[in-house]
Amino acid sequence: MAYGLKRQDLQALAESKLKDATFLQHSGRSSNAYYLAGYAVEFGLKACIARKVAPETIPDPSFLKNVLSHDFPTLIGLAGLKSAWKSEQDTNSAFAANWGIVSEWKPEVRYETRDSMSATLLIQAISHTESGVLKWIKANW
Amino acid sequence: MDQGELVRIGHIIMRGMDEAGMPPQFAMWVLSDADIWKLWIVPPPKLIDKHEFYRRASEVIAKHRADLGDVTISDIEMQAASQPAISAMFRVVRMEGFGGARFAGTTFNGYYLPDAVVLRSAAAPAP
Repeated sequence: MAYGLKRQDLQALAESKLKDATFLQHSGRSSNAYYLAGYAVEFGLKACIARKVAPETIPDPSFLKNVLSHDFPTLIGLAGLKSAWKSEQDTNSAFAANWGIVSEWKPEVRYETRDSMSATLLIQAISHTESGVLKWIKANW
Repeated sequence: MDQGELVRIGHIIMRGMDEAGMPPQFAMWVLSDADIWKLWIVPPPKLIDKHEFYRRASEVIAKHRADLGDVTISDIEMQAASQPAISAMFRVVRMEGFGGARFAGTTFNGYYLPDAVVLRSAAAPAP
């Protein structure tokens, strides 16, 4: 992640990556659609973290190290949302299922081939209007 | 997490899945490249819908929340019996029910596992 990104930049990037992923998926480019879609979640969570960063304060070293992580639960923890996230999963199994699908993503998928079904499933898990993960992220960014 | 805790948590989830009518064929904790433990589960052959698998697994976690602490659905990963390491494990490890065997720094079928704890390897699937 480039340094100096503002919360609004990260929000815009999250939306943009999802749109690009959807475009690629509709164009039959499933592997790259899958790859890009994951970044919609990562940037969205980083926007949630940016919201929590205190101005004129140097964060502690573990925060600085972990904020570069691509692991979604780690980022959710840094955003201070772990408890709310867990509670929502326990009461909304469709929401939890979407996080299960999303959590399979990792940056190393750029070396892998993903079929159309996998990309569609991931994009739906992110963008579903009722239980998609981006809806929850947006409520917290 | 130490091995004892991995086995305890894994067995709670597996037992919950057994009771929910989705008994895992195979279950194994795997340490990922990001140094995070993931519980790989191969569901019964009839359960192929990924969304349905995660939905029902999340209900198992919610039901056993008091015993599972901070475990979330993101700690579980649905895998296919054809995954290279798993298909090799099916051939060399026979572990019905609830077990716990550690493999560290081992390559199975060309797939390197830096650290793993097998909890169940029930039956080799039909080719």
